[in-house]
Amino acid sequence: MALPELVFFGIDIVKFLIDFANLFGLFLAISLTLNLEYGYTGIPNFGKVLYVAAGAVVAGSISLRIAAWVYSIDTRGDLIANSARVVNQANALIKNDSFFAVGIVLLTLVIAALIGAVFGYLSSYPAIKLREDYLGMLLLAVAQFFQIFLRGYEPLIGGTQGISGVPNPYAYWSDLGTGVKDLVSTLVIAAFAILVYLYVERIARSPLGRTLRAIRDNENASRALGKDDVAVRKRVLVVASAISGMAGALLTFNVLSVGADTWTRITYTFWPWMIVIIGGAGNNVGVALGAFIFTALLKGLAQVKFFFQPYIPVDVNWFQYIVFASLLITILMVRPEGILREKPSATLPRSKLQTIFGSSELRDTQIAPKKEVDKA
Amino acid sequence: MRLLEVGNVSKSFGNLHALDGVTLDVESKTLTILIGPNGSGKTTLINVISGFYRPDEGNVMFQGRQITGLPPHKIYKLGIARTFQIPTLFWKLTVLENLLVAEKNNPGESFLRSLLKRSWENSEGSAAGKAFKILELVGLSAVWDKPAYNLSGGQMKLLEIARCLMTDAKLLLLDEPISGVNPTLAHEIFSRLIKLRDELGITFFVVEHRLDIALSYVDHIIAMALGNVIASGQPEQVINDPKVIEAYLGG
Ligand SMILES: Nc1ncnc2c1ncn2[C@@H]1O[C@H](COP(=O)(O)OP(=O)(O)O)[C@@H](O)[C@H]1O
Ligand SMILES: [Mg+2]
Repeated sequence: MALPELVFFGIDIVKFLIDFANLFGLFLAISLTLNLEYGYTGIPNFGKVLYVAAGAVVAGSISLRIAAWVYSIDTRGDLIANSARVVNQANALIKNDSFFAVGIVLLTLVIAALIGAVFGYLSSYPAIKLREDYLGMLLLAVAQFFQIFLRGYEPLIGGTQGISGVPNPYAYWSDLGTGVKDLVSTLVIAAFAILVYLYVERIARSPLGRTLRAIRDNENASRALGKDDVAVRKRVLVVASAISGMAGALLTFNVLSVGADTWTRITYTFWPWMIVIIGGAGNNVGVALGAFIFTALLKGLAQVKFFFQPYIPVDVNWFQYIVFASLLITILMVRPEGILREKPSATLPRSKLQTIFGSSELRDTQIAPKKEVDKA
Repeated sequence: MRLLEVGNVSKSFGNLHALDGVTLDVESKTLTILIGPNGSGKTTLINVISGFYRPDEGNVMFQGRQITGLPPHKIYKLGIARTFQIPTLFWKLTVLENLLVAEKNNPGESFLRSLLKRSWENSEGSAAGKAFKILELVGLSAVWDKPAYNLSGGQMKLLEIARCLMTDAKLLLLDEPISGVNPTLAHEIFSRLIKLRDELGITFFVVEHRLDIALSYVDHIIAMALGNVIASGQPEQVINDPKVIEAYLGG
């Protein structure tokens, strides 16, 4: 069995859909963590790429080392230089090793989540001390620093060259036909994105979600009403960063390579920010819509951008930036809250609230005349 | 019985002695007001009692227990709630949500239990019931599902007070609850405070300038000037105190 090849206007539809789903799933999950941080809690995380990259690095460096170790593959003393050979041998062995295939994905996800969480925990220290705008700048700088470090420090993932290949855990499914292992990778990403959505939405619809919004709206009032805002923000950063790390790991297993320049602050900081702002901060449906619009535009523009080359005065590869920037500015002007607005936390259905309202006994009409209060 | 005891509390900002050895008591189940010219340290004192500022010196006791230097959220859990001079609402939350946030020890606020609706559904229901009663009491039930930023100035003041009532706090610290509120509503607010004092046994420590309105409701007045307590006692006695008159005229 092989995945069907449906060519339509010169585009391989199946491949297009798989790419689309990968991109959408990963950006959805990452943007949702940013929504948890920024949309609900008001933490301006301008260093999102840091946590995604941490997870991606974990997946690249760990899976390669574990594969070499488990299968006793000769690295000739330099794992990075010989990574291509190690990966080839490993992939051949993974084909018959379901335990390794599943195990390496799970293990990597756990470690990526842990490393992400540690990074999140560490960044929560400045997050407590600094004012919002300074915090944003600091996180931006730290993420940039991490990238520069990875460029210079080759033993981990081979610096700017990257490692030419990462063992493909989904190679186990490659006997089922061409493209099936890619489909498995996509299904894993889709399942992950759905779980992240359900998780963030659960929180959003709980008293916790309401408290996050309260802390965001007014940190002092939240303290006066018994919230330990510092501890809450810390936990949000840890949780969001752990999820971002997992997304990074799945990214590495999907593109099967990793290097210091695989990602930039544009890909995993600015795009998620744009998705959240366009879709609607504090609204998960909005963020999903934003991620969809973003993916559709990115993939769509990639198909048609050369058509525009004669008409635009700059290199066509910059075209997407022009389009996204125009979209962002338009949304900020026309609908500053994003396409879908924030809604109340809806912990209980409105009908239930009305029942409770109707049955509240203390109808104190003498002392509390229903007068319109002043417009001071 | 003394509910709150402030002993020799000092707080400076650089060279400015905002509080300079303040000592005062608030008796249980009274409505005590704190007066004083602008800049005399009233808000600073509220900030010290509620844990927003750590005093340089002195201590604060609540129900005979040291609370000096505890963070605000812990002081809240012991039973002290406060409002702010400038309304500090959760602007994008509805009126009802503003109250529900104040619910103490909410199981649905934990990162794990929030995922299990069954673990917090009931407590959320009873919190909502309590919130609606309070909204009736302060006359805000008609706007229960409006976002806070849509309220009028007077309604914002009421919502701040309402939020404090969710807590079952024993002591409410209100910083100028009727500033910028028309006289009719201001009287209404004070008569509701009296009712709460009598029915629920809540103690009020209220910073207020507008004696014309507040005077007929108060049990006890404390006057401050330049970071010091200059008089304390029955309303008539304090407002006729030469030091108080001097502070207002000379200040
Ligand atoms: N955070 C602060 N930093 C510096 N000075 C402050 C601060 N808070 C209050 N002050 C000063 O302390 C003095 C007392 O202020 P405040 O307690 O607000 O007075 P009141 O509430 O009685 O009008 C004022 O001179 C004020 O400027
Ligand atoms: Mg003041």
